[in-house]
Amino acid sequence: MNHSIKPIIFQTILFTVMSSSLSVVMASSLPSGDEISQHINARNDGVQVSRTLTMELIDRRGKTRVRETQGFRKYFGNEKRTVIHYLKPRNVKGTAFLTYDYPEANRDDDQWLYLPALRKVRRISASDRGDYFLGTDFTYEDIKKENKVSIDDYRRETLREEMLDGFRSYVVESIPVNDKTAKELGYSKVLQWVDADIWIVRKSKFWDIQGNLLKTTNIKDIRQIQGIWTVHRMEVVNHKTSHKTNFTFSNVNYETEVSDDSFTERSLRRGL
Amino acid sequence: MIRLQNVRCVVVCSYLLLVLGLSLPMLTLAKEQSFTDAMETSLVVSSEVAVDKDEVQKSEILVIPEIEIDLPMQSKLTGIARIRADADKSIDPDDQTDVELRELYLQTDIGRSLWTLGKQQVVWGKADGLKVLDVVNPRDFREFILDDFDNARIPLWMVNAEIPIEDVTLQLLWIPDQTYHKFASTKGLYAFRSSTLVPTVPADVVVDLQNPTEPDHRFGDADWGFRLSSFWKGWDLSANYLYHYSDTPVLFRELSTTPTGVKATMTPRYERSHLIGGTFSNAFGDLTLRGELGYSTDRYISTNDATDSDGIVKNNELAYVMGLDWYGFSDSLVSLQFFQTRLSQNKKQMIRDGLDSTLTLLLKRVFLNDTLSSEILWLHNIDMGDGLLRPKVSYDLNDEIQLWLGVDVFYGDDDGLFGQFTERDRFVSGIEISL
Repeated sequence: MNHSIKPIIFQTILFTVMSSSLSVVMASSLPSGDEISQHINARNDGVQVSRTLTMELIDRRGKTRVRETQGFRKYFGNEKRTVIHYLKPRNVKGTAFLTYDYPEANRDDDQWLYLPALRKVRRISASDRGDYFLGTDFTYEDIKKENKVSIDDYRRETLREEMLDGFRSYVVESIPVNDKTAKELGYSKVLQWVDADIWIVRKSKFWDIQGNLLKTTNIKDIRQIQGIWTVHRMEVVNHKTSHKTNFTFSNVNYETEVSDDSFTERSLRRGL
Repeated sequence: MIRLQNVRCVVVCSYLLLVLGLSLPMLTLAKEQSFTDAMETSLVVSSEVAVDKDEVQKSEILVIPEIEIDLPMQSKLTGIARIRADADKSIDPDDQTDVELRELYLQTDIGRSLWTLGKQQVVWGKADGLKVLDVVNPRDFREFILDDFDNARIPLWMVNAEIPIEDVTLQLLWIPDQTYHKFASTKGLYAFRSSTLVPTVPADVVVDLQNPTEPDHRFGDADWGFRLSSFWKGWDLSANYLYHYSDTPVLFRELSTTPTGVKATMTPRYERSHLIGGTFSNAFGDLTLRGELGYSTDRYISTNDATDSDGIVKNNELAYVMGLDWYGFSDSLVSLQFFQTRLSQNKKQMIRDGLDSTLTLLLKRVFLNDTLSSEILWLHNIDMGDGLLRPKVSYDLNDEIQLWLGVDVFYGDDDGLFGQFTERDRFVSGIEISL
């Protein structure tokens, strides 16, 4: 009996050691999480863009609310300014959101919200970036980052390479750098499938502060527009509430000039 | 009075023709876009019922059609009408129905500047619900301050130009429209009765209340003002100036002796005032700090002093609001405001004190992806100890239908701004359909 067990144990140990070594070799051949993040953030997304964004908000019973918006984004050096105007339906028409995203890690963004019922532009805190954006399942941070990532908020590790829907992807695990950041973001862990060729996140899974799976985002219909890889469809499911949000981008244009004046308090009040 | 109304009608019609006249050539130029593509219409129908312990206060229906027409040259024509009908007479038996052209304006870009011409609302200031600089448009007090701001603000005919100059935006206003606050009639539920708002006379004095004397020079009596606003190192800043007629008439008093006794002739008259002030706001972590300050000249306060020659005391007034919004909890807002006014003179028997302080607290939270909203608004006058509490829950059944339930509870001394309505506590329910 002992004779027969010993070789099995030996083989098992040998296999485990070899597998571990192979994993180490494979992992070391993968780009690091930070390198992948830098590739994602270095991806060309145009100096400016204008686009129509249709939001579908679907509750657990399937009741769907649809919002049509027009958005503009422009880089001013390393500073990114984004504005979203709500066009439909009537009950949210005129609502507009403006954000100035600064490159300095220690500088809070500036954000404004125009509510037509008050006819007033309201300064809003940028620290509530984990709050959900106007009834969607995307947070203010998700909206602001636009498929890019915050380098300073997370520690990252590349777990493996795998095929996702036929695309070679790196699976990156991101953990917030500290509890305060985790609370601000609303996530304790994020798993991302990053396309290894075009450096776009194709899928993300988010865990809440308690460590429960919170939501899953799938990025679809990625096409080149005017030479720039562009996401046209984002689907997110909140596993806690069973609420879903689908974003569909259309009329994407990187070449039409977007006026600097589009990113002012005046333009929020004026609307489109 | 009749002559004044005719003049007003002629001027308003002229203005209307001017706005439409400017718009029509643009319409004819819109060849590449069909009229129906360029036009967007909407309709809001809402109904609200308010019930107090004795009676139905109101059973009101509002119909608000709106049209927007896109014009060439980055221009847009907007028209909003409002039909209001209240089946109940309690709020104001003299004002149960009205049909009104609420807004009609042409918005056009000229270079980098934005011009808005026509009947419109302009909102200044950073405070919520408290008026320091938000005085460009008068207000309808038919329902005290319980009506929502957008409905209660009275749009005015004006020229409104916003001109960017480097990092500063200059807003210029010219308002040849002499429309003022509208108060509930004396028979209305929300007629002002507080002795801090309405001067009192001894019981044996006969009061002869004259019709208000309104300015009648359309151009000479026009209000005008400007605002300089900028974003500087994280701060939203503005400096404001308005030369205007105060929207509340001054009650000039003349005492005379008649064979039957003493008579007090009260003549309401609108008086000019210079308002100078500014606003600021910034965000610090979870907190947003905002504030506004305004200094008004020529504020006239009624006095009950029988020896005073005209029954009023000329004052200047400093008013300011400091507000803190806290976003510490998800999907929640805690908003605290401190509002204070100081008069330059504090003579005895003036109907209101020289110092008046009010606190407001708003607690708000949204649930179910913003479809369910709950809030409590508390307004408390520190000096009089009176106030108003307004809890409200609203639910978006879908994008077209919103339902709400609320309670308005007044408390405090009868002489207080809020306390005068302690018998008016009410339960409110409503529905709004947007099409």
